[in-house]
Amino acid sequence: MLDSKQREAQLLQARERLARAFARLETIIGSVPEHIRLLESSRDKSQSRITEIEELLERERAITAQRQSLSEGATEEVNALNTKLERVEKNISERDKKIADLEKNLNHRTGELIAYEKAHADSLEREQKFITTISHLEEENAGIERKLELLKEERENIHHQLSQVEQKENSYALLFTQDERLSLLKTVDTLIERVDAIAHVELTK
Amino acid sequence: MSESIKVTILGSEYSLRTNDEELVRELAAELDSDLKDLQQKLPGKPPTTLAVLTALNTSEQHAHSQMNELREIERLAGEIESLCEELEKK
Repeated sequence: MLDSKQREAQLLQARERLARAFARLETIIGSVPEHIRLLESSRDKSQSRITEIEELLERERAITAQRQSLSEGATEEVNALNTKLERVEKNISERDKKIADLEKNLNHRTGELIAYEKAHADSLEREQKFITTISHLEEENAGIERKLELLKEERENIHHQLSQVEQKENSYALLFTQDERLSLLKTVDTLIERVDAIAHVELTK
Repeated sequence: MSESIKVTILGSEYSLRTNDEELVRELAAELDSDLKDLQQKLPGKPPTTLAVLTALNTSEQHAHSQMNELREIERLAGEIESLCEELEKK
């Protein structure tokens, strides 16, 4: 338990502490006007800055309004373009349909062309075969013509021989009997018929 | 400017010099009231005993007042110091 003097001493220390605190507070309060002046200056700067910002905001509002107007104009153009685009899309759809039809037709024509080409190739092949055949036939014809020439020569010879035979017959008529002359004449007629038949057959080829 | 006054405490008159007559008269009346209250509680006790007990009560009250004052001053000093620190930060 403290006695009265100790309490007084403590009270004295506490009062001194309180006095120091007050003195410190007074010092701070004394500097408050300077702070207030600085704050006022800062406030003035802030006010100036606020004014500038408000001016900028006004300009920005004007620009925004202009942009809004342009945007509205652009929206109308975009709508018009969308309408055109829809029409174009419809035309494109029709064109696509026509292109599909044309492609189908083209495929059909291509098929036909391939068939024609194949037919043409077959025709060429057949033509080549015909040419070969014609060449072969021409060769055969030339051979036959040569044979025919030979047969004609043979016939000429036979006629000649016949004339000679007739002359001989006339001269040797008396040398053969009637039967022998008839036999010779039949033989000659047979030979002539054979030559004519061969010539006829070769010519019909 | 001190002046002489007369006060009556427990039936006895006392001449006193004081600079604050009103305060001294109030304190004398308060002391007289306390002594009379104690006299009623302790009838037959001599005035010296009553005066000692009253002085003891007054000393106790004074000590409590000092302790309260000490706590209040320290609380107030602490608050002012905190306030100064806050202000100095700004």
